Amino acid sequence: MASDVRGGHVGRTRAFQALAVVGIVGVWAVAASVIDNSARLPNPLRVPGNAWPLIQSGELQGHVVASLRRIAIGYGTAAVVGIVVGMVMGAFRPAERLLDTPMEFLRPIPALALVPILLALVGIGETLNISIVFYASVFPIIINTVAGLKEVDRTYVEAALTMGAGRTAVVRSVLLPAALPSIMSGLRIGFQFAWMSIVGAELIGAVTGLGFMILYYAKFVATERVVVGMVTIGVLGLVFDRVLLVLWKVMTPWAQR
Amino acid sequence: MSRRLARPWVRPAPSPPETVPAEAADERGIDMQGPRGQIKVEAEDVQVTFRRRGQEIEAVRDFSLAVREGEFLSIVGPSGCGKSTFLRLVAGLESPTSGQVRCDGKPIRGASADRGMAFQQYALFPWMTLAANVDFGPRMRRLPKAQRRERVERYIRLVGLTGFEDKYPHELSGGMQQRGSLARLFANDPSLLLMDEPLGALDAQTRVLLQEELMRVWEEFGTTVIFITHSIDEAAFLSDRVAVMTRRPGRIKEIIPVDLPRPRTFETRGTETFAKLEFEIGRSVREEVDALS
Amino acid sequence: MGHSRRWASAVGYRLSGMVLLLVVWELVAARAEPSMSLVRVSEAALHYLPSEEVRQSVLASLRRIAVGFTIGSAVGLAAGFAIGLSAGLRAVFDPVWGFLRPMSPLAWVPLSIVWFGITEQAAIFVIAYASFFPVMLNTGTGIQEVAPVYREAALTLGARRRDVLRHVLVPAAVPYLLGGLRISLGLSWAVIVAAELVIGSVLRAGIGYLMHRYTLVLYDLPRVVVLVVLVGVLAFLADRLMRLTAQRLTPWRAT
Repeated sequence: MASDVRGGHVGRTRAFQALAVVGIVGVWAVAASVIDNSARLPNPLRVPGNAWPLIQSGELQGHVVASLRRIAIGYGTAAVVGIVVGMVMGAFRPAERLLDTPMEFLRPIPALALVPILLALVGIGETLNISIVFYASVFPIIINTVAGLKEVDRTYVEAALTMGAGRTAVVRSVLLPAALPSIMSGLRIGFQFAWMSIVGAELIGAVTGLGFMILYYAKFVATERVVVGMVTIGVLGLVFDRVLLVLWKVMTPWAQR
Repeated sequence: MSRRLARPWVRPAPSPPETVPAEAADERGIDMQGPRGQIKVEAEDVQVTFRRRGQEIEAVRDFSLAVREGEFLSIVGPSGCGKSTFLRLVAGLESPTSGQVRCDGKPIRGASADRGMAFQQYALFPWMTLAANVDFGPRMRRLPKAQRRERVERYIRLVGLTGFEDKYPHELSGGMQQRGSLARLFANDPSLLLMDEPLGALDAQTRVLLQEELMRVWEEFGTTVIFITHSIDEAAFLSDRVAVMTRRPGRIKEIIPVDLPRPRTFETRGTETFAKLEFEIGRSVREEVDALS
Repeated sequence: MGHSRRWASAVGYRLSGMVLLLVVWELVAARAEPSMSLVRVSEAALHYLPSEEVRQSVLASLRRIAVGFTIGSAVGLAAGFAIGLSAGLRAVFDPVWGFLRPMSPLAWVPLSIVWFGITEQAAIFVIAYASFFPVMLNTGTGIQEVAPVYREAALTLGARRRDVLRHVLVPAAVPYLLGGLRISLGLSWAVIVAAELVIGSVLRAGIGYLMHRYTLVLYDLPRVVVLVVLVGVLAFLADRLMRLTAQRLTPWRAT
């Protein structure tokens, strides 16, 4: 955590961290070379060598695109639906009280537990995976949207009203911006859930995608290729999360700690 | 603009403890422990520089001060002038960049139960009951159980919180928490009390009441107290002397003796001496505040 | 509104909400898959739920969760203390956590299978891994976030550094630790079902195993639905239990 460092020598910390990562990978490489059995410990030095043919043949890209497509559609839909439903629930108490119970009932059910049911309903295919992603990500988005709207301090609303703002103006200039940090937070969490669930869904019910890929190569004990897949998953997850974080900061500069 | 920089107590260091002129000692009607008029805490040409976000901030510079044994000394000054910094030096929580701070003639190294500190946020441990909190110091000193129990009961009674021993801090009001933290402090028998705006978080009425409480408890023990506050009238009401600090980098601008009889009561606030004192201190601080803008 | 009227209104909304859900369910089932109708599902619930097979599987899944969760949390606790106390360790491992954290624990299932074979140890490993992070991160945060004033108060009351650790840092970190445990428990449930589904028929017991069996081997959709709801109920109860335990252990919390 860069905030740890007094005097803000962030650059120095980053360099140190990079060194630390190299060190850790180095130790791993040494251990793997000594053990020299990829079934026991994949060797990081062989990972790039395994990654290259996957990239050249386009196989890795194919899996990445497959996974991203599913996330894009599933999460995108969840974001829209989630925010809309959340707003309705946040604005109308009856709606919230009505929908709260079914949501509390459905939420503890892990998204991946629904695979068998969805399998029966829609069969193996894109719809299955996209639905899983949707289910996994929609709840945090709804919940955070509702919370964001509910937590808007009444004082802000009252201040606006006493300054002559009409209802639409209050919604637009007070409620939405005030709820925005929470909504963005929900979107970030929802994305993390989406990413987690796609990997799981592809492990179980897909023939393309990164989740499928790592399981496929695991069956052949080609652990270095499994590592390629895992690293890709990690990097992509990180990149997108950072994007959302930047978006969050840009859109709600006033909500920073 | 004239500045009154009176430092009659400065001597070349190191030096043996010196007695203060007799009249200053006679003002007080308190029976003190130890030789009267000895210097308890001494800061000598202290400088403290912090590094924050790559910038160097000089909190305190050319700071010298002598605090007498058994006295109640307040320090006032504009915000950010380094009052808390000095207090933390005496507590041993920080070290000076240059210069020296001594307690009982010895340089201060690290915190100790003998230099107890009261914080504005009370800092009662939220996971312990009141009794456990008050017991903390004695427990750290490994006192025998029976003694500890007796101490806890005595000091809780002293601050008027009997019956609340098993309550958690969050169940107590602000005023009660501050009294609890005082009990915790006194249970350690410190010879020096450092108080960093302890009453700052309280509402005005509770604050006045607690000031009188504090006086009552202090008069029973006669501990040396260094008290930091933003409130001029509080400083005037509580202290034997009031030290005014300059703006940052802070040092002692002047020390104003408080010529009010003890024990101090609510009536004291109505006297003319009090009003004059308040004004004099206030004006001195105001000069510093004005110089800021 | 009077007290009983408010209560009745709340109950009314709860019931309507559930009714809404059931109605939607029935509509979907009628159009897409009649065997999933509420009638069939309720029947299955009555006959199947109390069966020995379900009991064995629930116990099996619970066992795996218990083992994995305990191991992962214990290691997470130790690691949390280590990084909470040492800025050096934090600096070294921060990029590692930063990279691993967004990665789903399920991404480790294939590697786990390579290491442990298609056995339940593979599932337990993934659960342990999933439990490790929330506990470690929360404990680490808990220790770091301890308001410095408590440390200082302890020091000025005569505590030595060792005492500060024991009497200040540890108690202050407990609420965070419990929060981490709750998250880990929730994750464990999500992971166990998925892991059991992947590992499949080799397991012979487990909720995920049963779901696998009645979807791909024997086709009995009502049973699958019952199992899915069962998972939800169990996860919910586990969470409630955890929350209650947390409240009991931290009587000083204002909430």
